[in-house]
Amino acid sequence: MMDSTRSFGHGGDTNVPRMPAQGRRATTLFEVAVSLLVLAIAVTAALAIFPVGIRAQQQARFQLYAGTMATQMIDAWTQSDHSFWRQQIESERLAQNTFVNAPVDFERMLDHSGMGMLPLPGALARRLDSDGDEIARHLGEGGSLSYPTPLPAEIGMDSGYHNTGVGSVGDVPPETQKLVFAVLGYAQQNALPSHPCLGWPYQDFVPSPPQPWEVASWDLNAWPGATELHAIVDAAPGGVGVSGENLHLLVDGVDPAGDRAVADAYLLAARALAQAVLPGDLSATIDGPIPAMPPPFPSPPWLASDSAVFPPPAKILALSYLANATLLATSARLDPPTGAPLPDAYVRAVVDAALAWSDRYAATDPYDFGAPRPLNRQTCHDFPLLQFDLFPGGRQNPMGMLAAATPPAPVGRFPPLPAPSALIADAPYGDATYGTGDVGWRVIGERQPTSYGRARGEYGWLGSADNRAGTIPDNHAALDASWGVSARFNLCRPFAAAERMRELVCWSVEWRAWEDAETLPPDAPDSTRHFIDSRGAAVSSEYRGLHPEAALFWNEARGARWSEVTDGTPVEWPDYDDVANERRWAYDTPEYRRQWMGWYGVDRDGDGELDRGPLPASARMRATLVSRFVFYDRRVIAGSRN
Amino acid sequence: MHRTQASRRRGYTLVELLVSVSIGLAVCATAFAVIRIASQSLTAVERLSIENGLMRAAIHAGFDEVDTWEALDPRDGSGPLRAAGQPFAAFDWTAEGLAHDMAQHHPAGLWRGCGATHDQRKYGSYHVVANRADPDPDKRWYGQLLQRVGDSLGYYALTDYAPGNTIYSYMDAYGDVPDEFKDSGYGADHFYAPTRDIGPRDIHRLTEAGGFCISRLFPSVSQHHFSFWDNWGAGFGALVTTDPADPRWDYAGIHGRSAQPLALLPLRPSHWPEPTVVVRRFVANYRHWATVTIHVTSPLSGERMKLFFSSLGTTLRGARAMRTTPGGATLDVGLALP
Repeated sequence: MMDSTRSFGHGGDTNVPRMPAQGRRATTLFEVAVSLLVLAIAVTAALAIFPVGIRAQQQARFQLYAGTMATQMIDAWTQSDHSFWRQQIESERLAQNTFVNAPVDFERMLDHSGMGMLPLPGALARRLDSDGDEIARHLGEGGSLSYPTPLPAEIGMDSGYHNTGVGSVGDVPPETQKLVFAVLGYAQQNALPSHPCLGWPYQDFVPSPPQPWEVASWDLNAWPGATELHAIVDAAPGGVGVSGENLHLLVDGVDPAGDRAVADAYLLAARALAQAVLPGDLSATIDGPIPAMPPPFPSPPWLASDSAVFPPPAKILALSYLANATLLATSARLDPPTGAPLPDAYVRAVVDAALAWSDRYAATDPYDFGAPRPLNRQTCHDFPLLQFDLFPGGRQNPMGMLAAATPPAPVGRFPPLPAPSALIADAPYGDATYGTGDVGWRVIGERQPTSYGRARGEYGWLGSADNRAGTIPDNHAALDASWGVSARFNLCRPFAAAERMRELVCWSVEWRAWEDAETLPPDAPDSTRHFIDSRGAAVSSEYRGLHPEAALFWNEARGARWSEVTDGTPVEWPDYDDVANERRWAYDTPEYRRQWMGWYGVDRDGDGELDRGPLPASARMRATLVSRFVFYDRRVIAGSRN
Repeated sequence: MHRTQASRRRGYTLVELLVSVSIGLAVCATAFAVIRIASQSLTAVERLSIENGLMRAAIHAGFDEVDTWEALDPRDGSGPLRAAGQPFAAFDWTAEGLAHDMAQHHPAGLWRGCGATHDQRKYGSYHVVANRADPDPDKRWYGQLLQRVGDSLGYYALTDYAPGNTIYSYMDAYGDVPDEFKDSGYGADHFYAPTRDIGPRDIHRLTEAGGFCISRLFPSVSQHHFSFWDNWGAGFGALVTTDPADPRWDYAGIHGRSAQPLALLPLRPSHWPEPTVVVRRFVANYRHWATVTIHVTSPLSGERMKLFFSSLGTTLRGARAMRTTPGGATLDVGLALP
């Protein structure tokens, strides 16, 4: 049995006094409080871990979404040559053409719902905090954020097409709307879709009759055979009066008795033109002249003066007219020929030569703007590489540096435009005293294009002839003055990969929680989305760039979207039909503005109901970085497949 | 008696007891709350993890199908799209001189018709220049390509195989454009939508507000044109069906008929969310599309999540190159890969 009087540490000395009372006393309240504090800290720490787990899973979800959204954007971007971006428009002078409704640039194309993205209003974006203030710095440098559209183009319809959202199923608001995207890094100087004042390439089928713009180019470039050409296109008494605008009259039975005679005269005139333009290439036969086929290509290098490699545009046009006239003589709609019909072999030989030369012309020199590119077989060489000359001396002020001393009295916000049937000379752009101060950049290519004529477009473009604002005036001189220094052309120069690298960055944030997420009007769209110049005149496109969110704009009652209201809409979709024909007046009406500028907010989640989030507009939110994607930012229009 | 010792051994006071009980209750309540929150959090994390896993699996399945076309046409050749007229039928490119590589610079690729109208005799006898029965192989190639590929593999396949700059029209030996390749009416065997005669067109104009698709569930779509808008009849932008008596060939029709659902996790636990993955392939509005639509529906809450994206993927020509006939022969006889 253990001696209860002995204890460790005292060497068994029983005389040492015992201290049982102090050693066994209960835990004090203070000690309990400390223990509870320790327990509380441990529990709190444990509790804090659980949201981390949830956030990790949410982050994983967002990373999945970000990856697929990036895939979709790149898919759309890499097939941008198979989209209707309305890139090829033309105007009279450089500074008139805004030109970039949907440019080549990836960042600018994010502002287009065809990419599945819509612009987040700056007022919302500026309430976001992020690591290193990355979003704030991006916005401060002029950038913007984009959010996924609630109406993705699920049926292949480019939902940017008319901005109607047609093609979207929209059955469930996409959770991807919790993501916002931005493109970081310095933008490239991209290739131009075409010259701003000449929507080249013009294209046509071969064979074709003479087109008015071709006649204008012929005269402006003083090509040989002008007299013979006018003998074809000019109306009696000087010529046959045949052109691409009226050829159908011959075969539509308007004047059957005279059809054959006119067709025969056209053939004779076309042969005369060919004789004037390419006398050495014609072989006389009993049926008529037959043009020689192109010879095989010589060994390179090819001399610019070698007309077998680089045929002159007048030859291409003359052959196309000759082939057209030859074929027309065989039309079943004409009276029977008085003599023997043209043999099939002859017709075939003439048309074959025209096609072969046209094909060679289009393939060998993209910088010859004289003859149209053949639609019979379009090639990559149809589109010349052009860019703006952004270097010193590259600026141009073709619109007059100073405003007129007595500017025209405005109609609404815009200077007056010609009445629907007025001649172009009455338009303000025909007024030498009227200046806008607009400035443009000159254009450069690998070499300066040759053989160009003038723009063939029309201001406003769409509508009946009486309603159009008029053909673009002769801008050949403006084209002459538009060229910069070709030595600065750099689209074809070697480059380091790093020069083309940019980042697509994605953050997650529930921006829809703000109370005004759907009542906030959209930011004003970039004026370059609209094909109107600074005076409000429409340049040669039927399209006016609507705001990317336009399909989701609320109506006055915020109970429906304007785009879904079929009755009582103040202004119908403004691109077409009656409104389009009166577009110059429709721009500046209260009805237009309240409907198509998003005055009443935007149904940004696409559910058709006005949602008000719990967060006041004064609150800030933190955006969490989800993913960063490095991508190659190409500078030219290109496609990844047929 | 040692009263001092006695007083040191006294019991807890009522206050101490109450305090102790209160503290104990607080500890228990806290512990309960912690356990409950932990349990809920774990449940949420687990649910999110399962949903993420399902979403990840669905995305991978979608990408996989976009690349392999396996669900649309199993490689063992058992699918219905191997039948004649369907996009995975075997095709002999050596017949009738179609065997060149279809490079865009080949002389045969030069279209030789009248672009102004489908009436190829109105402005002259264009069939004299080239036609479907022309003695020159390069001048009959166009007609052979359009007619034979369209008939043998369907319209989607035709847009996939034909060069990007193809004009989809050809003449027979008499100068007539077959009804199949002009705006001639509704129904099967019409490559063009029924609009006004605006002449031969390329893929851009043909698929503006319309298109073609591939379907395993509805193989009959192979020779049909879906039209979303009537550009010239009811007015540009008017959403119409191409055939009032048969609205299948419209905007909603291509969405429904191009859907290829994928079987994902058929044996999943019943309390797991139900994922559906649908891959669609069509050419519409100027380009070829491969899209993936994913829905995940919770069986407990009914909540639906949706993810839609389009993606680059293998072309039909590439998918056919991956496959062989049951006898081991290639599907494209005599056609080299580009």
